[in-house]
Amino acid sequence: MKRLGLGGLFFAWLYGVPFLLVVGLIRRVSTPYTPTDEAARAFGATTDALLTAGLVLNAVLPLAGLLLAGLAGDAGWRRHFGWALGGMVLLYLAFALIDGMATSPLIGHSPADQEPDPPVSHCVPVSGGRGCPGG
Amino acid sequence: MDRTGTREKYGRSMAVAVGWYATAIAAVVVGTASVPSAPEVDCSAMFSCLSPLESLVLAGVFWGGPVLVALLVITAVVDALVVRRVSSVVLAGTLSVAVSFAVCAVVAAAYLGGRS
Repeated sequence: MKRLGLGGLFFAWLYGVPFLLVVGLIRRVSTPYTPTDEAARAFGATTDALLTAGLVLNAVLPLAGLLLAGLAGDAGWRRHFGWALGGMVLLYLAFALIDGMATSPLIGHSPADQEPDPPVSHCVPVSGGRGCPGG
Repeated sequence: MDRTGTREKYGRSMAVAVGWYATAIAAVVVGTASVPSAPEVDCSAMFSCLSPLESLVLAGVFWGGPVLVALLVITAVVDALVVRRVSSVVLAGTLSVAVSFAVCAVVAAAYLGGRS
C-alpha cells in the first residue's frame, strides 16, 4: 500500500506534469476561435490554470514524495524522488527557455477575440478626405 | 547482473518508454481538441473544412504510424544499451526516449532541410 502510494505519486509527477505543460503550451500557441471578448478571456484563464498547475505540481510532487519516502524509510523510492529533483530543475529550465523565446509572457495572456469593431456611426473628418456635411 | 534480471529490467524500462509516448500523444490530442475552431463556411475544396483535431488524425494516419514505429525501434535498441549501464529503470526508459526523439528530430531536420 505504502509502495503503491509512493509509486503513484512518482508516476503522477513523471507523466502528469509534462502532460499538463504540453496541453497548456499547445493551447497557448494556438489561435482559438473565440467570438467574444469573454470567451477569449475564459480560454486564456483555462490555459493559465493548466500551466500554473503543471509548474506548481512539478515542485510539490517530488518534494512531497521525498518527504514521504523518508518518513516511510523506503530507500528505493527516496532515490527515485532524489533523481526527480534533478528532473524538476530540468523541466523548469525547459519552461524558462520556451518562456524566453516567446514574445509575450506564457502565463497571463488572453488570445485575440473575433468580436467585430463597433461601426462608426458619426462623421470623422479625415485630412484630404471628403468634408463632413455641415462641418 | 544475471541474464534474467537484465531482461526484467529491460521490459520495465520499455514500459516506462511506452508510457512517455502514450503521454505525449494524449497531451497533443487533448491540447488540440480543447482549442475551439471557427465554423468554416466554404467547404467546397477537399480537406478545407477539417477541424484541428481532424487534421491531426489525418496527419497521424499518414505520418504518425511510421514515425511511431521508427521511434519504438530506436528506443528498443537504445534501451538495450542503456539498461546495462543505468541502475534505475525509470531513468533508462526516459533516457532512451530522449535519445530516440533527438535522433528522429535530427533525421527529420536533415530530410526537410535536404528537400528545400
